[in-house]
Amino acid sequence: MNNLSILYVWPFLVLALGLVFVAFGDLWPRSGAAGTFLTLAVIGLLLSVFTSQSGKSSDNLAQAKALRRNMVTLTLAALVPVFVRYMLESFDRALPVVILGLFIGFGLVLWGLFVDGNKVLLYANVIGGGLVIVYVYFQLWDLGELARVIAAAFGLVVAVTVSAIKLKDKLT
Amino acid sequence: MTLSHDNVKGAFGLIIFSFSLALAYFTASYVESASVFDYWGALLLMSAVYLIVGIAVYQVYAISLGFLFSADIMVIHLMSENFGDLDSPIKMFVVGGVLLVMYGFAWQFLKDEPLPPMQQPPTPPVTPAMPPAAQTSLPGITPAV
Repeated sequence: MNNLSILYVWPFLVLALGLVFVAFGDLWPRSGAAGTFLTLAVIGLLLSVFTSQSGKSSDNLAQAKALRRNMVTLTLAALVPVFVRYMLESFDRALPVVILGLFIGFGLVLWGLFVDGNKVLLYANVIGGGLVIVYVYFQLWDLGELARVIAAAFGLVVAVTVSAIKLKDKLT
Repeated sequence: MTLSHDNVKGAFGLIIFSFSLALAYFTASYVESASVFDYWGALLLMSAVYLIVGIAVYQVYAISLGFLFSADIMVIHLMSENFGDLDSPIKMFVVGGVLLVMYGFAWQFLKDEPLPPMQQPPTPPVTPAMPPAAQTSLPGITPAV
């Protein structure tokens, strides 16, 4: 994608970031979470751009690239838990949907951990998936003891399976 | 001192952005006060028109980006006022659609750039070692005892 056509990505990125703030304001209307998140996100974005390796150079294009990557990472990491929350609300927090949320969370974390050559997806998936897992576990806590057993067993099975497949050391 | 071509483009983009936004909000207020149309409906209509215009004139990116960012502001304002009234499934589909597009963009266009090839440090020129006999036999040099 050349420099001119990448310009047209910016309106969509701004819109997606705006959706994050709108969704946060919708989910926590009176807690001030949206405003706090907005302030912290903007400060974090600017800091990360100007303190990053590419930000040290005076190249505006490199700074724009870094800002774009950070915006996408932030948007993805924030929108994934919002999506899962709306999904659970849509299905009235039914147990199968909560377990689907657990699948999504673990799937994203695993995708992030094993993705190659894409740090945006790595950070976005690990942070977003982690937030999804925490949120879904909180929801499971309210659903009773059986749901907690299922959730704990599921987490254990995923961790053991991934360790057995991906992290196997050969004894010589 | 003359402005560069890019600065002029940026200035015109900013002017188009400001005036298009002003036009949309003034029109929405006017049609509401004249009881012609709903305020939010008018804003939604204007943002759709701006989006189409922004896409249609993509060759002139000052105009295009001016209209697209105006549409952005209006859509975000619309959502911030009305998003809470939507049903959860609709919100889920909106967020899911944006997530899909963002994942596609990150997957295709935000891959890590390959590192530049490592440069070898410059090696000093190698001088051939002289045998001890040759060193002692050089004229004018006496070997150290």
